[in-house]
Amino acid sequence: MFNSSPIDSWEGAGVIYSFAGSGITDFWFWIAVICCIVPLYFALRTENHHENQHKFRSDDSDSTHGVER
Amino acid sequence: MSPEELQAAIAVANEINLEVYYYWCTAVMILIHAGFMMYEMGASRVKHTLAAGTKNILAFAYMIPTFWMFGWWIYLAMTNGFVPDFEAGAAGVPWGENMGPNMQDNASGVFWGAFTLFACTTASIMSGAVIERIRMTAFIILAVILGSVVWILAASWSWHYAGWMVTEWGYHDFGASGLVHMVSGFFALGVLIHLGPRIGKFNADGSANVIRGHSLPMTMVGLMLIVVGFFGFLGGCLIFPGTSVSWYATEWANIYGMPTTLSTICFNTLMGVAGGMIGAYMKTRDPFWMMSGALCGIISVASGMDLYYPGLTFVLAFVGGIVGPISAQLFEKFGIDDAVGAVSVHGTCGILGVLFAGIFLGGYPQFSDSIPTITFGGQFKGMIVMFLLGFVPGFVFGWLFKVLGILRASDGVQEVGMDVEVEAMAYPEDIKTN
Repeated sequence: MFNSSPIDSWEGAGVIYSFAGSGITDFWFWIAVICCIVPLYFALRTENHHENQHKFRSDDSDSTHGVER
Repeated sequence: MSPEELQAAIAVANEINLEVYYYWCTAVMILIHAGFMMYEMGASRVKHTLAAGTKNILAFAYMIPTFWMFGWWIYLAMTNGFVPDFEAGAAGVPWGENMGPNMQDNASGVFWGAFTLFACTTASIMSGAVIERIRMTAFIILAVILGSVVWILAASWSWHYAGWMVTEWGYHDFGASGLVHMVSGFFALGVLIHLGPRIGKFNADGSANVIRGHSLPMTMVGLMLIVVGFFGFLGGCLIFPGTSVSWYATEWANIYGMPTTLSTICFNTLMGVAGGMIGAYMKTRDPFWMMSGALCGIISVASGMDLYYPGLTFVLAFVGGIVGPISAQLFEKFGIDDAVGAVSVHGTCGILGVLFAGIFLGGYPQFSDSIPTITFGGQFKGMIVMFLLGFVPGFVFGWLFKVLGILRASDGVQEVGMDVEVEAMAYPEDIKTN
């Protein structure tokens, strides 16, 4: 479908990756960036859900941040 | 075949051999990550096991694209300090000719791959310290900051022939005691200060309790895998001879252009591992620390292992194996809950590694007369830079995430187990091993 080849022949070929030399690589780069960021949003949402569900310790609601009472 | 044709054929063979060498170094280095994953899962209690493993795998996964997006560019462009050299960095921009398949470039991909795995190692170093209470999202972002920005900035300054610490001070850090281990260890310390200890670690009077992981055998196997991975890591610190990117036609070199051999690294890697294990065992008689001692040993000698006499390597590593657990006790006394002793193993022993090179490696000629020789002063200043470069970003971002409320899991989640946040259970039978 896509004609992504930057070369016409393998003879003396250099850069061969798809869409090389065209602005389309920028598009895929930014999509890749988004693919890294969006999962963090979902991870945070899952964390917050479980944080709300288990907010406090069963024995005491007062957090001591690690110090055993 | 004419002499010219023969020469051309040899040159092609050398380029291919370089590619093959770093390709397999990278593959072997993945064992470091697998090892850290087992190490940390074993050091976790049952209810936190999968969260520790998932965290480790995600750090690996995030490091790869982010190191491609900006990590490699930082290495090539930032040798002068904080002002980028865009011309030098051009080969590292992710839309450039070198950062993808290129029939004229056999080197960029495998060098990038090896450095990416170094970056993964830095994230793994931090991840052990923070298990059982750090939230996943904060950890991933911290891992990216450490692995794809902070350590590689240190590498650009001190692990590049044009890095300013090399050209100004003659800083020598062959196996990355400072630029990988110190930076990661003290980054972890900065985060730990804000993260706080695990529930139950400290009593009201300030005394510490021992929190045992659920599988020491898993931890020990993990550490042996890390030892295997070190052969890829330290082998990857050499520059292959006889290619367009080599220092020499017939000799291996370190990253600073000083000649060395793969045999040298074999001698001193093994002697370092052994010295550290035996030293830590003598100090603690504890299987966990005996295995961590292997890391203490190798890190304590890594800066100068391209030049040390193997007997000296063994002794220095033995000292590192003793110092590691002592340092861990001290940090605990100051209220720092470092679950696996990462700050001590990597940070403190990293300091030893950098300074030992300054003490024992005087007089060696450099690649160029314009580069100062290795001195204690140069190594000491380098040690300070590595400490600050690791600690300050860890402390600042740890503080920021604490203020944002995304750093530490609530006490309730910790009590139920961090595995609740990955919505999985390591052992469905709900076994209790401690």
